[in-house]
Amino acid sequence: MSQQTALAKRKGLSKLLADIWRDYDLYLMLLPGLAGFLLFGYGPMYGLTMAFKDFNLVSGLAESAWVGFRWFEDFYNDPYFFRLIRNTLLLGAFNLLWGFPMPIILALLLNEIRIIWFRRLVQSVSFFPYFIAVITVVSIMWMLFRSDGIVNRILAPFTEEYVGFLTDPAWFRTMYIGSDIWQYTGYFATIYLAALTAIDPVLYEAAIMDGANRWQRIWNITLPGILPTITILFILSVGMIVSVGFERVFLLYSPATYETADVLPTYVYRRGIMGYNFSYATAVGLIDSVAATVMVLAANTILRRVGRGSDSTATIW
Amino acid sequence: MKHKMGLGGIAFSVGVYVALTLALVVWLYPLLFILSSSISDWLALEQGRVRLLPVGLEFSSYQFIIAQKPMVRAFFNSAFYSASRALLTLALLAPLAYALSERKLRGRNFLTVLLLITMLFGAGMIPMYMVVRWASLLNTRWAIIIPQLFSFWYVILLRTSFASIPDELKESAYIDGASNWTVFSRIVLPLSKPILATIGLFAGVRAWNDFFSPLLYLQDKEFWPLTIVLRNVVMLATFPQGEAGEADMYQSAGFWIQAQMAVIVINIVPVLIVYPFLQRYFTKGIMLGAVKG
Repeated sequence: MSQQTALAKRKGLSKLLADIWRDYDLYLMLLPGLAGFLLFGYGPMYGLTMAFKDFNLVSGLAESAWVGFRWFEDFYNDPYFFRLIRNTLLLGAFNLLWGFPMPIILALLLNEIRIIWFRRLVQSVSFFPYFIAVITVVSIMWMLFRSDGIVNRILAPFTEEYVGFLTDPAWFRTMYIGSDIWQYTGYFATIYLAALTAIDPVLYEAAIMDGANRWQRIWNITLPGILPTITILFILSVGMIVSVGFERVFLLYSPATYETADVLPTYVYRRGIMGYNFSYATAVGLIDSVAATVMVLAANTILRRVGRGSDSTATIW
Repeated sequence: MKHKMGLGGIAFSVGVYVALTLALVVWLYPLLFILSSSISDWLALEQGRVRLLPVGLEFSSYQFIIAQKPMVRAFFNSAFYSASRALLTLALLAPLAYALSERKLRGRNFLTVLLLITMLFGAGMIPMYMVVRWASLLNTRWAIIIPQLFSFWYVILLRTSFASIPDELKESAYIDGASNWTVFSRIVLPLSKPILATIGLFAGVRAWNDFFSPLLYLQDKEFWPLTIVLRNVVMLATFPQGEAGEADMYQSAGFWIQAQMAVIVINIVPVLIVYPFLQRYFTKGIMLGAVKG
């Protein structure tokens, strides 16, 4: 029996080798890209061991001593620990709360428009900011909202002093979320609009026959029709609660607004890249990555449970 | 579909148009304001008289920027990074995606999951920095090009598109004794021009907009792309000093504002030029098909 399995195994192996030999060029095509994914996708995962070591650049990662969870304990005792967690969660949660419904509303509004050129115009204009750089969007905000910017000039008659849109911690979240909404609403609305085209027009005709008004049609046909897309995008967005965009925060914040603006990724940058505390920064970053992945998995699981038995919700797996 | 349009229906329509017109203003106004300011009179800018349309006409900031060597260099650096990333993304990922689309590839599912994991879980900023450092890419042009190429998202899009090519087309070539490479390069690639163009454009625009990689991996000013220069100009108010730039214009605050606006415009224009193509491909459903699953 065991001899037979060994024989089968050897046969399987030689079959495998023969297959590879026959289509060797297919495997050669695979190699360069695969090597890149291994190096730049899995290389950093090996680098994560830094979070559990006392890493220094001179001796290298392999030679550095293991220190267990020391950096995680240090972070827990960090004077900024509470502030960082709070800022990261609040910024992400508010961004989801305000930002997530916007593209759905825009898509529903566009769907009601019968004048084609106007619809195209709004779609094209709203989609465009998705393709410009975060730094460009932040630069535009900077020009508009700085102390001598156009917004403050218009507000000047009504306020005693200029409003510190970019320097007041109380304004930071509004600025961040506003620029995020401005940049991405059109993009996600385009995805919803594509989902809308899949809805059978017969449903609307039947609803009109039954005397449903426009609100009722939106509520009973359009929204259920795009619910699968809504759920998928929601799951993906949930991960963003903790992995807030580094670039946007980094470019919008300043020491004056750290109180509300400093989040885990920016702290990782300052401690790691600027301060050379590589192990410590890796540990903080790891908390963020793990939390993001866990939240996506959790959202997916919850929605799968809730949506079980109905085909109007969709999950990633 | 016009049955009866009661008072409620009319109010509804009006509300929709008003809301969308307001939204349109919110999206358009900042862009128009920047463009107008970049060509307005210095004094008008200094006094904040530019609200929507240009006040006066003054192109000196564009002349000033074009005369600044570091600025021109940054522009061409960005163009170089964009072109390289577009080409290398296609050169490396298209063959990979094709191999993954072939059912006869052994270990296909394993490889797919292996790549998928890199998309679901990112190790973060510092480990990536260490890999770039370890590969001796730090402070070279390659640091802005190579590490960012390996996006599984593009592989999915390419693979889906390759898999939709009818098998019969390939079968006849195989019968004639063609190798996998011949089938890929002679049959599959020519049929996949739209998706290749799309991925290339997307990768190029992403490279053009990349701020994170140069911030982390580049110290040498010579390699800076336009995004880094833009940040310096707008947020840190430091212009790279060109040989031609030591004029009296430095004295005018309005000139500075105008030049800052102009750099923003220069950053947007190349994206605006390719935007019609991006939008057409996107709405055609190539990108959307994959989102929907």
